[in-house]
Amino acid sequence: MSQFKDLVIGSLLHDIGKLVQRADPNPSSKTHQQFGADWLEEFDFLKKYSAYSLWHHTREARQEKVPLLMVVNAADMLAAGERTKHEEDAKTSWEREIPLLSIFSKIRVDDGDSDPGEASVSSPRYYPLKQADTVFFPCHLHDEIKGTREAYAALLSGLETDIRAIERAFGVNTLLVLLEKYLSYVPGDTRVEGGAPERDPDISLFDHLKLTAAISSCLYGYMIEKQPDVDGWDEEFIYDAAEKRYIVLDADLSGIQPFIYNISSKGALRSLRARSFYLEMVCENIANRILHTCGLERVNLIFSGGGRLRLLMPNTEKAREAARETEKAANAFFRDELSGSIGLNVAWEEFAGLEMMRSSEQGGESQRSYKKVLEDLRVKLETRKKDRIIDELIERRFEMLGPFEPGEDECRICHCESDELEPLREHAEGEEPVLSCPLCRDLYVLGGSLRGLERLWMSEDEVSGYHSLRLPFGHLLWPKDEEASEPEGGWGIVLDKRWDADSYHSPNDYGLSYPHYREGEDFEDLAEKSCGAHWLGILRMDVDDLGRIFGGGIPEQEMSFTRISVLSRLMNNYFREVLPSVLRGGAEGYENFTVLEDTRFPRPLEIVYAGGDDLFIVGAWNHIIEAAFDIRETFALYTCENQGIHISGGIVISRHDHPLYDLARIAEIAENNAKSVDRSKDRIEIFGRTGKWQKYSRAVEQLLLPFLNLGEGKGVVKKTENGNKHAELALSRAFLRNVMAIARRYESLQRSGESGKLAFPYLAYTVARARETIKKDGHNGGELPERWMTLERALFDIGNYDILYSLASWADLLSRGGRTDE
Amino acid sequence: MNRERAESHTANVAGKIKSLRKMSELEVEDMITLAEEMGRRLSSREVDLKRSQIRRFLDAVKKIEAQVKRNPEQFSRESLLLLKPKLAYATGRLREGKNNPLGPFQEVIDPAIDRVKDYADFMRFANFMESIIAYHRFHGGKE
Repeated sequence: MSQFKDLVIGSLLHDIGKLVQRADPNPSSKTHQQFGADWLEEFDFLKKYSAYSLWHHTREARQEKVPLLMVVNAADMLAAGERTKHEEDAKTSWEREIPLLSIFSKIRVDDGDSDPGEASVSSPRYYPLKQADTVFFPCHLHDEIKGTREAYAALLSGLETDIRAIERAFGVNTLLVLLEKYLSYVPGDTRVEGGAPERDPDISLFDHLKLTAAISSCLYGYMIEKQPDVDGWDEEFIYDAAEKRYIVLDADLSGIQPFIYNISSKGALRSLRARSFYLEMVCENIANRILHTCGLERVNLIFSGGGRLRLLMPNTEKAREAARETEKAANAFFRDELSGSIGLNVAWEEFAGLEMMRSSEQGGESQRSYKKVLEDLRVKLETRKKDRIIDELIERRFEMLGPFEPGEDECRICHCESDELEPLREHAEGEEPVLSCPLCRDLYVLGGSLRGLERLWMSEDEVSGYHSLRLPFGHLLWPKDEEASEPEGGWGIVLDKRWDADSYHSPNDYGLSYPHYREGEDFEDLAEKSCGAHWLGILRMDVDDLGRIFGGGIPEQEMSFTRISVLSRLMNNYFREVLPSVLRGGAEGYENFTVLEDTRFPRPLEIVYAGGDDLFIVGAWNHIIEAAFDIRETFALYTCENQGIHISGGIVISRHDHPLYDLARIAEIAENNAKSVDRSKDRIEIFGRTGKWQKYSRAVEQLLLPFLNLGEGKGVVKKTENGNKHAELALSRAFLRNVMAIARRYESLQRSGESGKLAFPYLAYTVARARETIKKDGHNGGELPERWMTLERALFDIGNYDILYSLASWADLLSRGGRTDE
Repeated sequence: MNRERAESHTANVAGKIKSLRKMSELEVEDMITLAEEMGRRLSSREVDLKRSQIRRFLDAVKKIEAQVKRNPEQFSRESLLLLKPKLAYATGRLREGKNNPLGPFQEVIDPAIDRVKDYADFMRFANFMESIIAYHRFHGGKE
C-alpha cells in the first residue's frame, strides 16, 4: 500500500487502543497507546499500523521524529481541538463508565422568545454502548447505559470477528464501515479530572478517528505539494496551524425537484423512486470523482445527501483543479444526457487549522471561527450558482436559440425530445404503449430492481448483456445481478447489507446508507392499501431552521470543525437509518402512532427521498398521516427532545391518478404553510389545516378516536364483502358530516369577520341529537361514555377549530366504503 | 332550580334584550350566552316547553329568512311583526293556570321582534331564535 494509504489507515486506527483498554479487565496496566499497538500486532495485516497507535501522542511522536506519526499527532490535536490543553495533563485519568453524550443535548437554539442562553434541553441524554446497526434513541443517564467492561468487550469481539472477515477486502473504505459499526456510540474521550468528568464526551470514537484521518490526509496532501521529500518535514512545518492548508468544499445539484417530479403518471412510482436514487448515485459519483482525482479517500467525504455534499480537502492546486474539472465535466454530462435539467455548482473556502477549533481562546482577531468559514462558503456557493448559469448561457447561446431538429417525438414520461423512443414496458394487446426515452427506460428498470437491492457497482467499462446506467465522467452504474461477475476496475456499493463484513469483496467497496423502503408496486396499489377511501397521501417534511441549528446551536466556545461535522452526520443519519426502521415499526423503545386497532407494518408507503434534513414519502393516505406523527415523535426522541430542534411538514391527500408534479407542488405549499404560521414552526398541515404537532395529537385523542370508537381503544376496522377495509364510525356519518359543516361554518364566519361562535348553536343541536342516539342505543346503561364527554368538551373548545375540519375529514375518509368516487 | 330564580333568569334575558336599541347590537358571544340560558330554562322541568309547541313559529321565521337571504334589500319588518299576534295566540292557547310553557319564550321574543329594524337586525334575531331552539334540545328539551 502507498505511504498515503498507510497514513490514512494509521490515522483511522490510532486511537483503537481506547476500545481495547476499556474492554480489558486491568485497564490501568498500560496506556491506550500501548493497548492499541499490542492489539494491532495480533493481526498480520495490521501490524504495520501499531506505530500509529503507539506514537500518536505529542511527546512520543516528536521524540521519534517520524514525520508521518507527527502528522497523525497534529491531525489528532486539530480533530480533538476541544481537549488539546488537557492532553498531557498528568492529573487527568480516564473513566470507563462515562457514556457518550448526544450532541443534540448541547444544542441551544435561540428562537427569539426564550431567554438567550436558556437550555433547550431539560436534561442531557446519552447513548448506550451498542453497535450502529441497531436503531435506538439516546436516553437519560441510568446504570444500564454506563460503559461496562462487558459492553466494551462485546464491541471489541465483534470488531475482531469482522476485521478477520474483511481481511481480503481490507482497505480504507471497508475499515471505515467497521469503525462506524462498532465505534459510533463509543465516547472518544472519557478523561476525568479530579474524579469528575471535565465535560461529558459528545464526540464518538468513530467520528474522532474518521476526522483525524481526513485532516491527516489533507496535511499530507498539502505538505507533499510544498515539500515532496517527506523526510524533510520538520516539526515546525508539520505543526503549523496558522497556514491555510485546508479547503472545505460544498457541491450542490440544482434542478433536482423538476428532474424528479416533472414526470407523467405512467409507471410513475417506479420512475420516481429510481430518479431520486439515480440522483443520489450521481452525487456519490461526483464525490468519488473529486476525491479520486486528487488522490483522497472517502474519509474526506464529510457529508452527502439531498443533492448536496461536503468534502474536506487539502488546499492544493491539484484539489482545486479536481473541483473545477469535476464541475465542468458533470455539467457537460447533464447537458448531453439530461438536456441540462440539472446542474452542479461547486464552491470552496480555504481555511487554517486554527479555524477548526473553537474561536475564543486560540487565535487573534484575524482568526475566523469554523462557523464563519462555513458562512463565507455559503455565500460563495450562492454566487457560483448565478455565475455558472451565466457562463452556461454565454457558452451555449447559439445552441440554445436553435434551430431545433423538427419531428422529434416526446418521451411520455419526462417530456424530453428524443428520437430513440421505445415502449417503456411490455404492454397488453390493444393497450397504448408508453413510449419513452432511453434514460427513462433505464430508470424504470432500476426502479423495479430497487427493492432489496443489496449491491451496486460503478465501473468505467461496459459489460455486455447487463443493464447499466450512464453516470457522469463516463462511469456506469450496475444494479447487482446475482449471476454477474463484477467488472474489473470498478467499485462495489453495498446498500442493504452494508453492516455485514461478508458483503465486501474488494478494498474499494464501500457501504452506503440509503433508505430503502418500498411497500407498493405503483400509486394505485398503495392507494388500495388505505383504510376507507382508496386515496394516496404525499408527505414532505424538513427540519425547521437548520441554519440556526448549525450556525448558532453549538455554544460558541465549543464550536469546532469536528462538532459541526458530527452534527451533520447525525442529522443525516436520522433520515437514512432511523426513519426506515420507524416506518417498518421496528424502532427500539418506540411504540408507533396508530389510530386503528390493526394497523399493518411495515406501512404501505414508499420513501421517495430521505436524507440531509428532509424527506418525501408517498403511500396509503392514512399511513402517511400516521407516519408523519411517527417521524415527528422519533425525531424528537432522536434529538433529545430539544425544544430548539423540530420538524414541520405538509400532507396532501389525493386520487392516485392526479399528476405527480402537481401533488409534489401542493405538498410543498402545505409544508410551507406549516412553516409560515409562526416563527417557532413545529407544525403539520393535513387536509389544508395547519396546527402544532402537539395540538394535532391531542385532537386525535379528544376528537378522532371518539369519532371512531366511544369505548376504550382504537378504531375498529371492518372488512366489506369485496375485501376493502374501513373503520366503523362511533356514530352516524350524518353526525360526522354535521361536525364538518360546523367546522367549515366556523372557519367561514371567522374569515368574514364574524364570530365563529355563531356556529355553536348548530353544534349544540347536533350534539343533543347524538346524545339521544347514544342513550337510545343503551351503551353504558344509558350513561354517556367518558370518551363522548371528552369529545363534547373538545367540540365546544374554540381552540380546536383551526383543525377540527381536518380531524373530522380524517375520520370520514377512514370510514368510507373503499370507493374513491364517494 | 326554584321557580322564582328561574323566572328571574328569563326576566334577566328579557331585560338584556330590552336594553338594546337594535338586535344587531347584540354581540355574538352575548347572544350565545343568552340563548343558552333561555334554552336551558325552556327545557327545564318547570317550563317543559316541547319543540312542537314552537315549531310553527320557528318555521315562519325560517321562511322569512329564506326570502330575505335572497334579497336583503327587500326586507320589511311587517312580515316579522305579524308573528307577534301569532305567538300571542299560541301562548294563550297553552295557558293552564300558572303554568305556561310558551310564556318565558314570548317574554323574550316579543321585545326582540321590536328591536328588528333592518336586515342585519333580522339576521341576528333569526340566529337568536335558532340558537334558543338548539340549546333547548341540547339541555334535554323534548320534540
